This record gives sequence, C-alpha cells and structure tokens, in this order.
Amino acid sequence: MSLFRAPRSNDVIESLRSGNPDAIDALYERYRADFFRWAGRRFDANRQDLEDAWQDAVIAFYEQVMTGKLTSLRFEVRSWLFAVGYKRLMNNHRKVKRMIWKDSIDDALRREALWMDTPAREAGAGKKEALHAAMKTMSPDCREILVQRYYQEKSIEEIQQEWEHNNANTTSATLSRCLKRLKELIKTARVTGA
Amino acid sequence: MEEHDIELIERYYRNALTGPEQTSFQERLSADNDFREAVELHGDALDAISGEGRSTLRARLSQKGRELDARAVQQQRWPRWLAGLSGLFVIAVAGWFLLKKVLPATPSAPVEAPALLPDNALPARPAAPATPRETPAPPLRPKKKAPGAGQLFAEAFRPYKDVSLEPARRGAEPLTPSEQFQQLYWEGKYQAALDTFAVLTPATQYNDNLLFLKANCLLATGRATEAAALLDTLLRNDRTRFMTQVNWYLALSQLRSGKTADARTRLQGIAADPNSPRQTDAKRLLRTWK
Repeated sequence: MSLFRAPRSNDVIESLRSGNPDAIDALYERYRADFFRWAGRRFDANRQDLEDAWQDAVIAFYEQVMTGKLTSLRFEVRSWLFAVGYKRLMNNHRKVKRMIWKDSIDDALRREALWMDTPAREAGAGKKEALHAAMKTMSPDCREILVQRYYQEKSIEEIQQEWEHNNANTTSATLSRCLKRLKELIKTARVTGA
Repeated sequence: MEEHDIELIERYYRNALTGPEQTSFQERLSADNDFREAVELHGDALDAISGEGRSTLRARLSQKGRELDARAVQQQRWPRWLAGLSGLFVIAVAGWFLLKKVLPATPSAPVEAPALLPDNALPARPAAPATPRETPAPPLRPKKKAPGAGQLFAEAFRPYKDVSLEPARRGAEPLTPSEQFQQLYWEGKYQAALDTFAVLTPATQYNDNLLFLKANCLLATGRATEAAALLDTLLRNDRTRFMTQVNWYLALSQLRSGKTADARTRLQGIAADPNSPRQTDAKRLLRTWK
C-alpha cells in the first residue's frame, strides 16, 4: 500500500530527508509492477534481473537524496527511477529487444544520464570484502547504530530517542566508541592484508 | 587523533566545510601523513557502513518484493468472488451433513437394536452358521485416512512462546507500541497484534525479533504465504535471536501454503539436525505425514 497516491518528486525527496524511511518502501512498491512491465518489454531479462535493477534504482535514489547530491528533480521521480533501472539493465544485458527514444524516461536518460547514475566512492572488490568482514565482526547494535547515523543520516537526537538513551551524550559516546572499534578492525585487516 | 580533527573529517565527508576550512584541510592533507591516514581510514569506515546499510535496505526491499509477489499470487489464485463462492459452497455442504445427522433416518423399517439399549434388552440372536464362504468381517475401525497438509499444520502449529516473551509489568507507565504488540502477541490476540505492528515506527518494524513474532501472527491468522516470505528473509538475515526456531516455522508456513515438497525437505533437515530444538517435533510430524 502506498503512502501517497501521486507523489511529486520533491515531496518524496523532502519526505526522505525528513527521516521517513517508509517513503522509500512506498516508492519501491508504487512503481515496481509498472517498471517490470515497462522494462520487460524492452529487455530479454528474467524477473530477478528486473527486481535487481529496480532495487538498484531505488537504492541509488535513496543514497543520492540522503547524501544531499539530489535535492530536486525537474521531472517525475518515476522517470528518474526508470532511467536508472534501465541503465542498470543496459549494463547487464546487451541484448536490448527494442528501444523507443520517445517517452519521458528516454528524455530523462538523455538529459540526465551523466549525473543520475554516478556511483559513490566505490571500493575495489578485495577491499570491499575486507570492509564487509570488518563490519560483520562488530556487534549487531554497533552496526545498527552506525548505519542509522552515517547511512540513514539520522540525527543524534533521533537515535537517542529510538535507542532510549538517557541523553544525547550517551548516544554520541556510543557512536564514537563503535566508529573507533570499526576503524581499529579495518586497520587490523589492512595490516594482516585481509 | 583529537576530537576536533575527527569532527573536521566528518564534516569533510559531509561536504560541510566552509571555504577557508576546505583550504586548510587540503593543506593539512598534503603535509601531515597521520592526518591523511586518518582521513582515509574514516573514508573506509564510511564505505563499510554504507555497504552494510545498502545490504540491509536491499534485504528489506527484497522482503517487500516477496510479500507483494505473494499477495499478487494469492489474488490471482483466489479472486474475491470465487473465494466467496467457495465459502458458500463449504457452508452448504456442512449444513447438508449436519441436517443428515440431526434428522432421523427414514422410518421405513423399525430399528431393531438401538445402540443405547442395554445388552440384556437385546433378544438373543441365533448363532449364524459359520460357512467357509462367509465374507470377512469389516475392520472394527475404517482405515484412517492420511491427514492432509491443513490438518498436519493444525496439529503441529503453536505460535512461538518462551518466558523471555512474557511482558514485564512496569506499574502505571503506559506501554510503548512495541510493548503493546508483544503484549497482544503474548495474549494470543494475533490479529490485534498485527494491527498494532502496522503502526510501529519504521525502525521497529525492521527489528528481526519482532518480525519473527509477526510471522507467527501471520501464520495464526491464516496468512501462510506472507509468513513464509517473511521467515525466508529472517533466515537470510540471520539476525533474529529466534534463529533456531525460524526453520521450523518456515516449514510449517510452506506446509500450510501448499509447498509440501519444500516443507518436507525442510522438516527432514530439522529432523536430522541434533542441535535443532525442533528435532523431535519435526520427526513426529514426518511420522504422522507418512
């Protein structure tokens, strides 16, 4: 069930920025079937490929908004998402069934392709694995609180309320301790060449 | 590294440095090796956190996708009018059987020996001559029909409970929505618990421990396909403290939703696992299933 009927792009961005994580779920749900139909006509892709591309698009949108790289859109959020999903499928499937460069998504692709799909700082595969291993060594609580602060961009106060800490200092100290621990683990992994 | 430097590095990665700060930051980066290393380390930590955040978000979206697919399949399989019609049919059949039981049999012939009469009230029956051609007497009880998946599920499914779930009493303090959910679950009010779950904060809704209880509520209210999708995600996430129970409930969800082959395989796995707290239950269920 969608939270909104016809979301305007900037409303979605605003909603995400204000810390409403439901907005991303609603967005994912709202256009998913539509994307599957639309992309399914253009690509010889199976359902899992379409699902992956759609998730990539939604996650890319979330990250662009949360890191402040995407603050407004000149067209529908649907067009942005479809264009990114389309590019993902293009990268993975060279066999394009047909291409009709005439709808709003194609416009978005042509005009905005350069910036809309720019990946964030991408680590190499080996480094990625080491970072992942370091993160997995942390306690689940530390992992969660770090994700809330640095990925979901939650404020200290929001985290304090959610974790029912007595005050913001406790939250800051917990975050600081967890981040320090993570850095130590990464450092150790570097030394051991993991 | 000093607190001030850490804050500076954080702001650098948030693109929140002022012009002069940016200039001095760059100068320090090129002149101070320790500082540069600290900046890189912070960047790596942010990458690690982003990776974790991304995979959590992806798992959440995948779960949502599976729920949507399960819902779509159910809707395709059972259009509302067909479900209504089936309901009416079941009621009609049940009514017919009930009527048959309640109404006396056709009174064309008098009943010779009503079951309720005492033995001595029965007239002595002449012993029938034993003949070799006599057909063997039917078994005292008709052969028991193998139980169906629904019956097996009904016999095996009990919503999960342990002492750790018993709500703690905190005097007059109002319950938080999450506590309300757990309270309703504990009291066996599964639909009400699901309604409460729907209004929990989004972060709480992604707590795998609560999601495990939600899956039990779904199973208890007949939404086995959704429960199976949810339990499958919990299994992949490997985060809930009820991890040792997830397989069992997933098997039951599969059994209930008609994926009997999957359910059987899973149950066989549990039955063969000496570390599973559900090993005996799985063995028993498999025996009944035979």
